[in-house]
Amino acid sequence: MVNSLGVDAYQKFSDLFLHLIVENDKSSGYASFVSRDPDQLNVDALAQEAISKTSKEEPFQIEPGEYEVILEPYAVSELLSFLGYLGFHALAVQEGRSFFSNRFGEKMADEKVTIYDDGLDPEGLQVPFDFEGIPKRKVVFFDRGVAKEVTYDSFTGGREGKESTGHGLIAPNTAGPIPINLFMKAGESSLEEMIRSVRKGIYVTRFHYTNVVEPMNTVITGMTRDGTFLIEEGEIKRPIKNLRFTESILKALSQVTAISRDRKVCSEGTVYSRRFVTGTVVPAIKVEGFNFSGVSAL
Amino acid sequence: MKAFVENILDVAKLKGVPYADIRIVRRQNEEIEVKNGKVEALIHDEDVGFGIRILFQGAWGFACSSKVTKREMEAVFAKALKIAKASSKVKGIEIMLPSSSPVIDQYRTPVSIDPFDIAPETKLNLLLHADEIIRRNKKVKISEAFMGSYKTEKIFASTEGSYVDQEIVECGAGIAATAIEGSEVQVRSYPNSFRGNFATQGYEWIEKLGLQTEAERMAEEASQLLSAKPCPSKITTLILDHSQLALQIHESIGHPIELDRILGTEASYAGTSFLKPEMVGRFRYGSELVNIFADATQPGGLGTFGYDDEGIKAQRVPIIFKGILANLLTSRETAHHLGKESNGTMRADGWNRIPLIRMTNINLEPGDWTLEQMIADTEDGLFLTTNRSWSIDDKRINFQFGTEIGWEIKGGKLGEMVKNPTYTGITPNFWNSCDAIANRDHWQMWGTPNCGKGEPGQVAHVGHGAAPARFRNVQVGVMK
Repeated sequence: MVNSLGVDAYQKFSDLFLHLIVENDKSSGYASFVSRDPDQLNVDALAQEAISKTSKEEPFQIEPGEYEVILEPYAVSELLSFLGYLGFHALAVQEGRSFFSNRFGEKMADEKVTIYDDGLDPEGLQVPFDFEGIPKRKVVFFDRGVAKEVTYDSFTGGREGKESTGHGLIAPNTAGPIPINLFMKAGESSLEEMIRSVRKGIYVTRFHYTNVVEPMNTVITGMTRDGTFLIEEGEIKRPIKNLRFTESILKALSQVTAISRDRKVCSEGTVYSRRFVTGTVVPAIKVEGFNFSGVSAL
Repeated sequence: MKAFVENILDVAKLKGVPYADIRIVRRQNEEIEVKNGKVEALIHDEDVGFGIRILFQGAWGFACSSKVTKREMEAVFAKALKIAKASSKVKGIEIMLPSSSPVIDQYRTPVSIDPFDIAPETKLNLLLHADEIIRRNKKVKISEAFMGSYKTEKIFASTEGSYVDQEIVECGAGIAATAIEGSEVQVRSYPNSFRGNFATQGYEWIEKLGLQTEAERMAEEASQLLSAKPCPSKITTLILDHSQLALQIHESIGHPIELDRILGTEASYAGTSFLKPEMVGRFRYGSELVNIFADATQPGGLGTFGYDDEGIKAQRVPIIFKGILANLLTSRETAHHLGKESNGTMRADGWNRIPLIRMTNINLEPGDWTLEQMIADTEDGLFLTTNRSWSIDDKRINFQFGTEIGWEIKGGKLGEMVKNPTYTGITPNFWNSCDAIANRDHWQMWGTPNCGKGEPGQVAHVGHGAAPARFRNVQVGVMK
């Protein structure tokens, strides 16, 4: 990246992305991996992870409604990415279409929830500078549940007399400085403890085909996929038919009751036909009262 | 170019591969976006390259390059053959291509005005004028206008002796008004959301879209939506305008009928389908009124072409006839599952991707009603238009859509405007509840320029013809 203002920045990198789906006639399972370091790839472990989500049993149909849920990192990553696109950046705030507009300093999520962007953290897919050659800075969106700050590129920064935080995307970018290295702070629970603490709830591996319903209320809808289970009395009891959820992300984040210690790097690999190196680093979360609005059943 | 092509096909025959084809593709794209009176983007890009596909020992190999030279073609051929050999070691079932008679032909999208002959200034003026009209409304905080022009020149040639030369021209445009007040944000778009409507037509089509004429109405509707009442939550009668119906067809009919998806090759990306090949000829997909054709010959459709990327001629094929599933979208490799020949739907997103089964124009045939009669005949319901969000599960069973705007229907008349409308349903139940479709006067083509499929990802341009239609007992106002 070189320009007439004296920017001269260079980074060489590669990344490896693999995801897999396994299927039998009753169910399917998913696992994915992304890293800068191909030596980290363990195909057997990934296959085991995906296979563990399948079942020989016919999935059971449950009634839609509000349930306690455990969302695996794949699902949490999706929630964070939507927040990033909808409102964690200056353009959305400046245009008055961000859920953050006029709400900085307000507690909008549970105090266990800290969400930030950090292009320099080697746990994620590190990139030292943005598409304008500006060094990346850490930006904290939610600090223990409180709305704090958003990302800027030089254009949105210039409007407010602020400096870019290093979040410029590929020009011409009309969507705003959307953060692409999102992190959610880890918690203190193990996934097993989280499952054990659920009396009746739903375990979600992954979401599918999510889309925005009401942007200002961060309401999105989508389906569960590749491993949805009923949890009863602290145990994963049986596979269930995929459910449609229609829920406000911010409402869900204000009802987080546990967060896992372990985090995972999640990346979907391509956005339409382009490989776009973006990855979130997220834990599993437990949420009270998550709204499922339908079920996939003929 | 022909000499290069002949050379590489001779090489293929000498190497003894049972089948090989080459596609040489040059694409030009121009996209213009204006926002609040400023030019946000003006992009012109062009790429050229070729891809070689080889069937060897019952498996595919594919390789490509942007260096269109004789020597590079030979190198890429060798690479594709190596990949085919490697693939054959892990193949599930042996891929067979039924024999096909060679085709030598040309096809050009008929256009009066090539959109690339129009200066960017002229296009900008049109967009900036529409954008300015939108901003006259004080409640509108964001005004946007978009235009895209696309030209694809492609040659397809195969070892069977086919040589097809095509030029596909597409263009489209649209406007959007975003009204904001406090924490209420409402958008209205014309002629459709997500950048407008697109067609295989020339610039004459953009001139007729009427962006400036409709700009004021869009601004007005967006500002009215700010104080409109929320969409009620109930089970009711739904009338969908044709633009929303186009996407309903796309997601709940167009994708599930792709035979490669049914056979599982899309499973790791967007999923599979609730359909099975043996359901063809038996399955009741919709009511008696529902007739769907896959029509790659529809003049002006965004999924209209002369030949697909396997050299199969464009066809008009019945998919759903009087509500019964009659056919699926097929390729040369998959059609035998139905005991049929390919119906010509294989298309690749440029030279560096393999062709996949893609929708052509998946059209709902018109019915007998006028929209006015349909509304007058509805005691209680909702009329919804212009898509805002879409979602469907990985078997294409459970869908949920949101639209930009809706109106209540009370006692056979359009009533109050509603904001944030949503509806949800189960694919065959929904299509079986269709009890009225508007006539040909209300029927029009809609282009979907962002249809994603495959890994690595491919984007296809497809079309849908539809007239407004009525559906009974639909859940609207999800999560209220």
